[in-house]
Amino acid sequence: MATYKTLAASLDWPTGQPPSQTTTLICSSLSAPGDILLPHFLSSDHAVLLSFTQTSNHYMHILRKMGVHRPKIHFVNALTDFSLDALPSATRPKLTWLAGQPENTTLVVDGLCSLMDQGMSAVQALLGGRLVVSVFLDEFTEKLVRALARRSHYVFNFEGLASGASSDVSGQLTATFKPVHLHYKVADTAVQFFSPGQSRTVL
Amino acid sequence: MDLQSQLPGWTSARRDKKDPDLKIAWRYQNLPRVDKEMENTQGTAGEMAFCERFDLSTRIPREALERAKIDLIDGDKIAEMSQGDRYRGDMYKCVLDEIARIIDDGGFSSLQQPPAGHERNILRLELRSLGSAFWRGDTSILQFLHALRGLLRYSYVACVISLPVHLYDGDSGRLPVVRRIEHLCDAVIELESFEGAYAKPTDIVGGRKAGAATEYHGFLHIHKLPRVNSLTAAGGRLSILHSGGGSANNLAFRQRRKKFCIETYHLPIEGGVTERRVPEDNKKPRAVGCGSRPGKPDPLEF
Repeated sequence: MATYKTLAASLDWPTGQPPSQTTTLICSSLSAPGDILLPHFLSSDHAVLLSFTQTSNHYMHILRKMGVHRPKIHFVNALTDFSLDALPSATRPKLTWLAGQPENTTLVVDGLCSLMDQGMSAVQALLGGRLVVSVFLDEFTEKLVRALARRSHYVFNFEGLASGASSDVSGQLTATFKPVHLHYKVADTAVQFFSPGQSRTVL
Repeated sequence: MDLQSQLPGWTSARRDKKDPDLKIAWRYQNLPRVDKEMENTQGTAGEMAFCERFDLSTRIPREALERAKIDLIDGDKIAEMSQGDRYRGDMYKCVLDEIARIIDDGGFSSLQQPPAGHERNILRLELRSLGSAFWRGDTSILQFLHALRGLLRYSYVACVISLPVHLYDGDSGRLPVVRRIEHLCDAVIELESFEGAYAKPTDIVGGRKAGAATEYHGFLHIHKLPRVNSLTAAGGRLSILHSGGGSANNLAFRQRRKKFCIETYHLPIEGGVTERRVPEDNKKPRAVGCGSRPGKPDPLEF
């Protein structure tokens, strides 16, 4: 997708998507939500989206605004299909159908921390394709996020700017696997990534 | 305790928008007014007006209450209902089922067609003091909010929740569960009062004229704005008070006898308006250098 070209170029992923059999973790904070990176992974060939936070309409609207007119995404609603007395085994029936998906699948999970809210203490990653997980990092979810980070091949960290809020820059993105340090600005139809100080509005 | 009878009533006075004749700055007369407060945009007669003005010293008239369609979820009844076999003491689940029932009965669910002859309307839901000691049950507030969000995403409902966050402030700061609650909600605003603060920020953050009559009572922080169906919060772009996350517009509130108002604030002029005079006893004309202090000779002066 055009929006993410700068980012994909700096990450050195040949196909623009992470290599298969890898796990990517996106950490967000309250002032800098990281789900703005999800449309990039959703635009891959075959994507399965499991969301705890939003309905399918939300992602469809965003993708349409960014120029993807027929998003081919298999959506799994974890927002309402989760009962209040969630048991750990409740997730397994949902995930066994994944074994029937084609090899090149990207599984995107939005808001995995909601499992913690429901009372779970451990999460298993069991995929052959690519797993992309979006979580919020704070004191409550620290253990979960650290456990996931240890298992992940790529970790993106979205934070607000240390110097305060700005209307030109929405936040900063750092990554551990490569010395990536980018600022970004979120607009309604696109996200712009740029090196610190190189924003078009500032230059 | 009848909460409904304590709701404030509307003001009858309309703001008079006559601009006085500007003699000197007449060029600015035609420019749009930028005020620290938002102007109340009263629509023409027949249009629905949003953003009513309320008068805190009056109460809502009884006729308006009777005409309105209000479904009250009574706390005492919930406490009673939740004791039965079905809920086993879980008040959150009980309230959630009540809300689901009201949504279904009133035709507010977007998953079902409204009953015949019924016009679609929006339900405004208010949850007062969620998370206070009154709420008991196995379900945590986090599970409740997650289930509520799932319910509301498929309904024509707007929900406002008030959380007594002072109950979650401990010696070592705020409990982490508050951050989880913030993540589960679409919009988060916080009123931070100056009352009880060690240093009174009112001394620094002045009103239009410094004085007790116009001083502020606290800050209003907007932590999060709703971002549904979009990458950015639509509300942030359209508002002049909170321009997209920049700290250009800081908001403070003040509560007077008749109204509660929210304004942008800025630091007043340094040194104060009345203290800017050079002290009279120093007859020698002094150049003001970087080391100068009033009343003492400048050590750098030569």
